[in-house]
Formats: sequence, C-alpha cells, structure tokens
Amino acid sequence: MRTWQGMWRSWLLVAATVAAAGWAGPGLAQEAKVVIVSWGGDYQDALREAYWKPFSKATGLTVVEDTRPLPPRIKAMVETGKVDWDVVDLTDGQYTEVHKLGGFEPIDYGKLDAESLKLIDRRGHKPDAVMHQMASVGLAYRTDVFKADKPRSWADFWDVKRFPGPRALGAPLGAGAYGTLEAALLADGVALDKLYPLDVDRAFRKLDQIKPHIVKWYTTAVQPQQMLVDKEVVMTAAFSARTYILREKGAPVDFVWNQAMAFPMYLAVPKGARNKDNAHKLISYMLQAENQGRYGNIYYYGVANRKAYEKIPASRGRLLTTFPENLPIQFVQDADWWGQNAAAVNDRWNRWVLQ
Amino acid sequence: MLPLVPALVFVTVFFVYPLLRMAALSFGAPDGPLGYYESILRNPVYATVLGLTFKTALVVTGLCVLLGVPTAYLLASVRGTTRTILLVAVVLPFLTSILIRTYAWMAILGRHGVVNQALLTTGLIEAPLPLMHNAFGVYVGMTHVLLPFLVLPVYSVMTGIDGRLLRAAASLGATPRRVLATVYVPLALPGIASGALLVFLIAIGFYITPALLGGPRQVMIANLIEVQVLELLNWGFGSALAFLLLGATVVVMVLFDRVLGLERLTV
Repeated sequence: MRTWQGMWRSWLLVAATVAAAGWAGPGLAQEAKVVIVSWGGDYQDALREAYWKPFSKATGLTVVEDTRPLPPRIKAMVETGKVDWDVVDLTDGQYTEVHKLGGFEPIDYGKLDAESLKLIDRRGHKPDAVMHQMASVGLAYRTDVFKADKPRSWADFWDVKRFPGPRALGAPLGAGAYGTLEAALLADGVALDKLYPLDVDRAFRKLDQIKPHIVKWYTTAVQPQQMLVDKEVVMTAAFSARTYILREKGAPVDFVWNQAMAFPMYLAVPKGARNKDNAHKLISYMLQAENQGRYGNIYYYGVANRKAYEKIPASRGRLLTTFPENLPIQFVQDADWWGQNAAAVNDRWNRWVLQ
Repeated sequence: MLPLVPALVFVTVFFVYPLLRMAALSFGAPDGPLGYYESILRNPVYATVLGLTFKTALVVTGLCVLLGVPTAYLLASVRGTTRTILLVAVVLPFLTSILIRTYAWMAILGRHGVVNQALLTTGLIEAPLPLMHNAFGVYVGMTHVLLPFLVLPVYSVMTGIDGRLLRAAASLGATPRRVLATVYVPLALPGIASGALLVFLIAIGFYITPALLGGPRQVMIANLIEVQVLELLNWGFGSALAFLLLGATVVVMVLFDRVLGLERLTV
C-alpha cells in the first residue's frame, strides 16, 4: 500500500508541475532577451558571428537561439497561444504559408533603421516581414567530370548526350522550394521573365524526358550536396551557398548562376511573441550595411542591403545571389503562385512519379 | 485496479485525446465532414502508395524473420560471456540514431560506396551496381533498423523453452530435424509472431529510411502524410491519411488475430 501512495504522490507532483508550467508561461513580462530561430549548422554559426554576438555586446540583450522554425511549428505556437519565439528566419515560401494564416505581428517600420531600409529592395518590405537576404537554387556540377565543356543552362542539364551521367532534382513538394518545374520550363525554352504563371502541363512533359536519368528526386536540402560529394550524381539542382561551402572545403564542384532561382528570405515576428520591442531591435541591427557586410564575408547568401557590397571584395561578392551581375541572369520564385498551386502540383507530382 | 489508473490517465491524455483531436481535424474539410476522405478515395495515388507501403513492410518483415530467427536461436543456445557479447551486438545499433545508420548505409551501398569499390577493384563487375535509390536499398536499410525488434522477443521465448521436452522427443526416436519441426518451432511460434507483428507495425510508419535510400517509386504513406502536415500545412487532410493508415493497420491486426490469436502472443 505504501508504494501505491508513493506512486500517487509522484504522479500528482508531475501533474502539478505540468499545470504550473502551463500557467506561468504567458504571464511573464518582457525580459532583456530576444529569441531568434534559424536553420542550425554552419549557417546559424555565421549568423551568430556576424550579427548576434556583436548585437548582444552593443545592446546588453541576451540572444537566445533555437532551430528549425518550420511553418507548422509556428502555426501550432500561434494557435495555442504559447509563443516561445520572437524572430523567425524563413524562406519566401515558408513566410507565405504562415502569412496566409495571419500568423505574424505587423512590422513597425518606424522602429527599424531608416537608412538601411532605403538600401533594401522595396519588394522586400512586407507588412509583416522584412527581407534580410536572398538565396539561390541552381545547377551545380562536378568540375572533375566536366572539365572543358561545362554545363551552363538547364537545357544542358537535359542534354544527356553532351553531358552524360546520373543526375538529381528536388521533388517539387510543398512550396516548390527546389525550382524543379521552373528548371524544366527553362530547359524547354521559356524565357526567364515569362515563367509565371507556370505551364504545369508543359513542365511535366519536359520532366518525362529527364525522368530516366534522375537517380533521386530529393526531399531535403542537404541531399543534393551529399550526392554531389559522394559522386552519386554528376550534376544536380542545389543551393548556391551550400555548393560554395563544399568548394571552400576542396570538393571539385561549381555553381551556374545562369537561370538559377533566387528567393528572398525574411525575418518575421510570430503573432503573440513576448519580446516584440527587442525583436525589432535585432531585426534593425541585422539589416545594417556594416553588419550585413560582415555576414557576407562569412557566409554565401546574398545580402539584402546594397551598401554591404562596399565591405565585401568583388571576388567574393561574385558568389552571392544579390551581386549586381548575378541578379539579372536569375529569376525570382513566385511564392504567391506556389501558395495557390502547391497542393495541386503535389497531387499531380505523386501520380507522375509513380508512373 | 488502482495501480492501473496512472497508466490509464497517461494513455488518455497523451494518446486518446490527441487521437480524438486528429479525428476532429480529419472530419473538418471545408466541403463537408467526409470531404478529405472522399478526395483520398477519388485519387488512386493513395491506394497505390498504401499498397506499396504494405508490400515494403511485408518484405522487410519476411527478411527480419529469415535473418532474426536463426540469430535468436544462436543467442538462446550459447551461454555466459558469448551470450552477453552477442546480445550487446544485437542491442548496440539501438543506441545510434536511425538517421546516422541510414547515412552509413549510403556510404556502403552508394555508386562509389564500399561494396561497389570492392567489387570494381577486384574486377568482379565493370560498372557500379545499383544498390541504393531503389527497393533493394530500402529493404536493406529497414531490415537493419528493425531486426532487433524481432530478435529480442524470439530470443526471450526461446530461452523459456523447456529443454526436457526436446530431449523427450529425441528419446522417443525423433530425428533432430523432426524435433525442430514438431516441438521447437511450434513452441517458439508465439515469439516469432509477436516479433513479426511488431516489425510490421513499425515498418508501415517508416519514412526517413525510404526517403534517403529509396528511389522515385519507394514512396511510403508516411511520406505523403509528412508533406501534408509539414509542407502544405493541411493538417485535416494529413489526419485523414493517418486515419486511413490506422484503419488499414487495424484490419491487418484483426486478420492476424483470426489466424494466430493475439492472446497467444506471450513475450
């Protein structure tokens, strides 16, 4: 009997603790901290070095980090009213998904550095998010396989006679993050500025041609670089930043800027965030030219603030999405089109891939 | 009954309640309560993928039985340090994450992986064999992950088999093969059945290993659920798919019960 009572006491204790934690959470006042959430790995290391450490030093605010701000996690936090995050770092597609649900606080532009905002493309000023960088997905290939004749376009990717070897592309699931349908249309001769609205029928017809040569339709962003390094494929669609990191580490790979897909990445504040003021301070800091310049020298994403390129040598600037010579030869993904069509494309994709 | 209460509360709070919430979500389609289920039925993809999922799970279960039963027999028939070492060898992979084990298989089975390199250098093959990004890779990876779930229950039943029964059979003139077939295997069957059921149930929910080691056609129903929940944020449709999987699983359990009898499964 005694052990039963002991057990009951422990269970009551657990229940009380869980209940207390649930009630204490939202009641806390704004603290001297800000919680930012990004994607981990060497990318988050770079953000920490370039932005968060010096921000903490300058303001005395503690920067608390978390990883993987997936839209469903933001949705769950907002819906249950237990919002642990203050700033989230999202791709255009992810931002659009949460934006449609009304999951963000409005950005108070009066609280952000006016000088920096002037130097950032107006299209990146959303009512509930600000662009802080741009990333690209494009053709990446092994330079030890294609030495003299190098692939330069998606048409070359489709040309299996001139550029033989196994290939990989992303499965266009969800918000079409890997630009697979766009690549097919470009290979079929559609002009960069005539891509959207996507001709889905035509894209799938073109994909029929390359299907036998694709060893893997990957579903996570780390797969293409892994397959390229392991020589599973000779070329693939991959992220520019990750490709250059491989090259920095000595892998024989290169990235093709021509016809690459660029997409903005946003900083946003989840609805009900506890440290809204601090969130705005951190966002403002991350947009300033000097800080963005520091970031551009550490990592390979395209800085949003034009003036940041004054701090980045041109040899390195050339490897970034927003470098003036790189932008005109890329297209910007239309997240709104994908937001409206992702479910239908997903359905069609599932049928097509099993055929 | 009193000691049961905490367990019941636990199951209700952390399993039954979420399941009911999911059920509510799955009946919340904008075009009527059965909207999500109707669109699942209308689209042949889901039936195809469910079929592929069950086929994969069946093959993996079969491989686990083929490899696991002799392993368990070996474990049960040795003693002392040898048994400890072998048991540790079976359990050790549990301590490594599935993701890491899957990546290890990628290094082994890849076009330039260990196996292909060895075969190419010895001149046994001229071009790399396709060992990965196809059904073969998925079977290998999943069998590796799930094997301990079969070995352990079978081993535990086999150690409980009374050796005197085997000797009695032998003393009555049965050949070793006859002893195995008419005494040992029937006694071990509950362990094999429960191990196989465990492997099968875990296998139908797999998605990481097939996503990394499989090719275009190795789509599991869990992959489709993942996309609905994580990418498309359509939790209602994702829930409906999950209930479809749950329903199909229940059907399998009922069939299994009819054939073998679940209450006989003692571990």
